[in-house]
Amino acid sequence: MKKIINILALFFSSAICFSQATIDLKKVPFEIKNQDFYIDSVIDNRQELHLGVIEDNSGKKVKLYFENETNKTIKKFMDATLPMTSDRVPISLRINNLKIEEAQTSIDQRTARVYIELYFYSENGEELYKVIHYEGQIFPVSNVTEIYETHEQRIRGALEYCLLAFINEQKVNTTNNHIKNKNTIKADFTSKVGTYEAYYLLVKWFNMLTFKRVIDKYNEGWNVAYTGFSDHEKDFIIPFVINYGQSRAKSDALQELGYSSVDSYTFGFGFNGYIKIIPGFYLDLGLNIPAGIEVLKNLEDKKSNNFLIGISSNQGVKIIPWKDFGIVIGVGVFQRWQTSKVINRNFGFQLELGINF
Amino acid sequence: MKICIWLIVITNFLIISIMGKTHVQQSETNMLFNTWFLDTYKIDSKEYPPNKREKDDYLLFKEDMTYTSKSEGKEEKGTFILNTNGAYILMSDKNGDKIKAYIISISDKSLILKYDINEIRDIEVHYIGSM
Repeated sequence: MKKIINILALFFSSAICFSQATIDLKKVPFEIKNQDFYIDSVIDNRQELHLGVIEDNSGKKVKLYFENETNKTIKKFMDATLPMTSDRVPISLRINNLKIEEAQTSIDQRTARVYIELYFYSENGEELYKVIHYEGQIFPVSNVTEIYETHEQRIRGALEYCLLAFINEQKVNTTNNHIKNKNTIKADFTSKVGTYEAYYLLVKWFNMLTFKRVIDKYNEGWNVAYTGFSDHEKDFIIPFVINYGQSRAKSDALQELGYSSVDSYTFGFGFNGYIKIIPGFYLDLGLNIPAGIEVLKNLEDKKSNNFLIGISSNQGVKIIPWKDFGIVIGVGVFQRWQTSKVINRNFGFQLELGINF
Repeated sequence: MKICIWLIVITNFLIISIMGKTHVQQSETNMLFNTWFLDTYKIDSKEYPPNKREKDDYLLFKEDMTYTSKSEGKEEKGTFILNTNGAYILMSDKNGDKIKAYIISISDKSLILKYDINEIRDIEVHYIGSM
């Protein structure tokens, strides 16, 4: 027992301990006309000191940091474009957030983004401008290497965006750029919020493979399904579902109807929807059109086929405890009407077990 | 003495490299200020001509950071930002709708963009400069 606990402890500790990787931020200057300020200091006010936990080239999760301290790295980046000169006004920056994130966001796409929350301050400590920005890019799902190698560029893109947003705001505020006049800086700059938006999670795409045991009054069967969906917080989630199922009629019910066996094979397609109750817990509602074939054998062992088509609805709950990889559990009830020669209308229970990845 | 000479040489080399790079960034920015006429679409190394309705479609980027575009004969105006580090142009029309276009390459005569729009994300759009 002790050994098992040790192995489990080792497994979970290795799962939550990530190796580290560093980013060397390039200093690529960009053109700003009539430069009249420089970045005097950068304050790193982030709660998490790493840049994010993301997949590297080999698909292994790593914790990303800048090669040097974040404030020094960003100061050097800004200095390349806005070097200090005596005729320019000092501006200070405070970084409240700088995160690299990436996730599969649809069946064939991954989204990588940099989330930045940056404040601009005047020399006397007055807040001049705040910008919140998502520097995002969408890739084909297989481009893991390209995604990893371009995180650095997206950080630079995000920093440049923030600086351009600040400059554009000053242009809007003043017809004549008074920034050169240190005495008027307080009068000319008002505290402005750029693109203020509460932080939202990157919508994650779930892949699920599930096996479903289906039981009703007359039949016993199973169903396998692939389900893919993007995990919205508020909206009604419409997953992409393909499923295949088989069922066999119970023999005691068949005898009365003149058959020795009835097997049905159906593919299902239709409309499914999830409503997120709490993270990992979903209400599952569905309206499907099962289509397939029914193979009937009468009491004289004579076979016949029947085309099956129908409509079914289901209601249940789905539990997905772990986001990245784990098990899926579902329970529910269903109602079905189909062109069966044996039982047209039916209802029953279903129990689902599977994995998400 | 030798060390001093070496230090001067290395310092000069670094200054020239940095200035050269800055110059490259600025000239790339200036190159964009042009009228770019739609030439071809490229998908998986194969080139496709624009359709008849797209004849004479163009993008005009001005130094005052405004643009005019003609798409399928329909003209639109707006403002844009050029993000050198992100290698993209972000165009905002009068309704506030934004279109991001990644710059794949730019020279005096040629501009290749990839639009950040789901249906055409993999398509390279080739433009020819008027100047």
